[in-house]
Amino acid sequence: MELPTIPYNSSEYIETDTGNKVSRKSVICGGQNIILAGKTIIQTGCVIRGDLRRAGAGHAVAIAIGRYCLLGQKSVIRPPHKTLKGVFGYFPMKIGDNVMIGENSIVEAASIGSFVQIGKNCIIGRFAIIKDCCRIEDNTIIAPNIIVPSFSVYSGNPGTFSGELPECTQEMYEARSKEFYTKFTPQ
Amino acid sequence: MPVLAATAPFVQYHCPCVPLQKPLPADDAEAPHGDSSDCPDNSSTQDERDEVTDPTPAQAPLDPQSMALLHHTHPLCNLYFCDDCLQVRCGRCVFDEITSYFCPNCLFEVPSASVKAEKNRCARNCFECPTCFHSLSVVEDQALITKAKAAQESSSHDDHGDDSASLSSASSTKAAAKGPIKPYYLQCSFCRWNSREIGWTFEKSTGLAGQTQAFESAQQPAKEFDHLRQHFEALMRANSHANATAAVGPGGVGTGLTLGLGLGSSPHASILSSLRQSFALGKATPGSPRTAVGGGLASPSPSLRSVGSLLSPSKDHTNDPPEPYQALHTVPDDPAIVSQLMTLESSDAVSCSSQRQRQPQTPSYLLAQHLPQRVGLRSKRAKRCRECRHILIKPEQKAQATRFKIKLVAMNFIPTITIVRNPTVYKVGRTHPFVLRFTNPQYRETRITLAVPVAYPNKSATITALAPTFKVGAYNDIWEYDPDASADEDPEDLGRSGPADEGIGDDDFDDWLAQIDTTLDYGYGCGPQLVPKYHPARADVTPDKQRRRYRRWLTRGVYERHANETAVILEATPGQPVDNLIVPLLVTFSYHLEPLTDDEGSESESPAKPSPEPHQLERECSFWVYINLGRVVTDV
Repeated sequence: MELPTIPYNSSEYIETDTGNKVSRKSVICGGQNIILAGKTIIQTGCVIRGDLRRAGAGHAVAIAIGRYCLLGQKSVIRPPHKTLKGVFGYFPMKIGDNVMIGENSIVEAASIGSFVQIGKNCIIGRFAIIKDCCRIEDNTIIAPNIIVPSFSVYSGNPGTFSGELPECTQEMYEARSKEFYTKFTPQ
Repeated sequence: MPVLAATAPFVQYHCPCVPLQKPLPADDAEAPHGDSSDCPDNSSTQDERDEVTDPTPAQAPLDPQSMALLHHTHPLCNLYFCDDCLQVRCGRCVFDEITSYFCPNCLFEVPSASVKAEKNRCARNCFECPTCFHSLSVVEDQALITKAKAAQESSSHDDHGDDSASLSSASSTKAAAKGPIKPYYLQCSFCRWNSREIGWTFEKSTGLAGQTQAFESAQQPAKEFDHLRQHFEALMRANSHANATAAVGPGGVGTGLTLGLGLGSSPHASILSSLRQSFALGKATPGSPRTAVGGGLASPSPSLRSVGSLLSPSKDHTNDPPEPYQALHTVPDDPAIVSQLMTLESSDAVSCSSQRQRQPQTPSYLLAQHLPQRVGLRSKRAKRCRECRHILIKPEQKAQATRFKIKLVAMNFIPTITIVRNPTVYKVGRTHPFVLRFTNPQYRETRITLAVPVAYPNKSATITALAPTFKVGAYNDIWEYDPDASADEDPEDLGRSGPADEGIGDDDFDDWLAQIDTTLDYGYGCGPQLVPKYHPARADVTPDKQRRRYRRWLTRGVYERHANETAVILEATPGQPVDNLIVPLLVTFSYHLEPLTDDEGSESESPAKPSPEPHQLERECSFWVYINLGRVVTDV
């Protein structure tokens, strides 16, 4: 079944020069520490914590998000933290291209590759590394420090390997995220 | 027969590896409503609604209501395409060849030579929690380290003043008395299980798999294995002394044991061969006293003479019969387990079946006896066509690479079919239009022909393709960047008012339009806006233009045409209420090959039909799809 057009209230969203569509009803902290590569949709109720960055003066990128990403409603993107040699600190998070994060998911991963789909109500633990071409099923809890290798499906609590993705995952997910961006149009 | 539970609409592609149903009688397989049903053997029809040909009998479709359908059909993304056989290939009709092994946790590539020795598990630092299967992390006990340091310092203070030799000896004796400090242990960051519960602590934080070998070898099954091995080796020694005048053992169970335990040294191999020969002759002697492990003893006779002795066991009894094997460890019988479990106060200590499954050595009912397991390896696999051995998938060797050296997936060869417009509910006896979109992945314009079978098992609807033959534009990378460059107007239709237009009066048109407006329910709250894809709110759609579009829908059956996509209208008239209205459709696509282009040189050699023009080659392929349109209810 083809995705229907997803109309949005044009007064709610800000469209940037690079094609990002950011909801005014989302909470974006420390915007100067967040990089959006373009054509990324940030939906209503998202929280992006760019203010949680590595201690120290100067400019530091806390969250880098690639092209054609979707941050679903009420999802939370928060850089991971840990205490290293007695010093508490936050670490930067990197999200690749064509990543779709479902509603109500909380992401504290260290890095998420490209062509990744994260379902609804997921929790991606601290310093988890999700490689390219992966799917995290709905309601999955990826424990901290987990590495999700390419072409795998993870599900459950704690998230464990539950299946392999086909070889054309990259094209499939790329098409899906682009289709979503195309269909996400103002009313 | 089990019937498919109600599912969301889908388009599934049939893989020809599973033979389709028995041939139908030829007169049954006639297309309805004058639709062209073009089979791949025929040349593609030029006229759209004239020619009616029977589908080849071998291609009669499956029963769409049976559960078997889901086993015979696949979503497009799971299929491959062999461009040598020009056939779709599914996971069942390809060979898998392992390209490389890697650990999913540390992503370290394991050389295939050491995979077997490491029992298909990671030989580095990767363990999984016996309780929740999360991967364990190495944690150091800081308190233990500081305590050990303090103790060391104090000891060096005490020994201060002695000569160096006595100092070293004193400290070494102290260390020996206390044993080496093992401050490292494994901890699960998810369920807080830690390996100190089972007494696993380590001196170093690296190479834990090597360090755990001590624990693993201390396990009963490992000990039993070694004991068994010793026993057999002793037997063999005795046997070689007796110089092959072998004592005859029962053999039967012993072979199974030996085989199962994989004792691969050459004397064992000779025993095995002799036993195998004895079995082949059907003269294996019946079993003798059985031991606790349930095994008899293999006859250790390294020469071929022993075969003779096996065949006539009563004659060659020169030696004493070997001692029966005494097991070190016996598996507790069921009453013992039951009584053990009955003393438990809470069920938390009992393992569940999935936990026991992950304990190959000691699948104990008590969770406390479970050990962390090394993480199992995963593999990257190349795939080959079973018919022609043509390689379809070849991944990169490296564990982290996601690229493929060769990737022949069906998605890049055959048209992708998606359901665009579909009524939420179908009603019996009414004609509902639905829209299918065909996306062409080829760099050439493709002609698609749809054929609807007339008769098939459990037929629940009559399908009419308003556009049985249509063209889909060539795929072009540029279109991806220019979504508005679409030609909504059909270039084929603009110039001509075909004969199809003439037979239709305005009344017919209005009837059809009224029907479409009432039945084409989009189901996602957008209302019945009949404006195509990329122009949901286009102001320049005048009523006249819109009317022309409706007319085109009705007369041409082409809903929308855009870049390499064409959406066509079909009509379904369900005959009975069903949960899933699944309809088979034979899709034939053909395109012209240009033999002169450089990169297509190889393709022009493959089987292709010569078209009327001698310099152009036409290639034609066909496949079955099964489209689930959704629920059918009785119209009340």
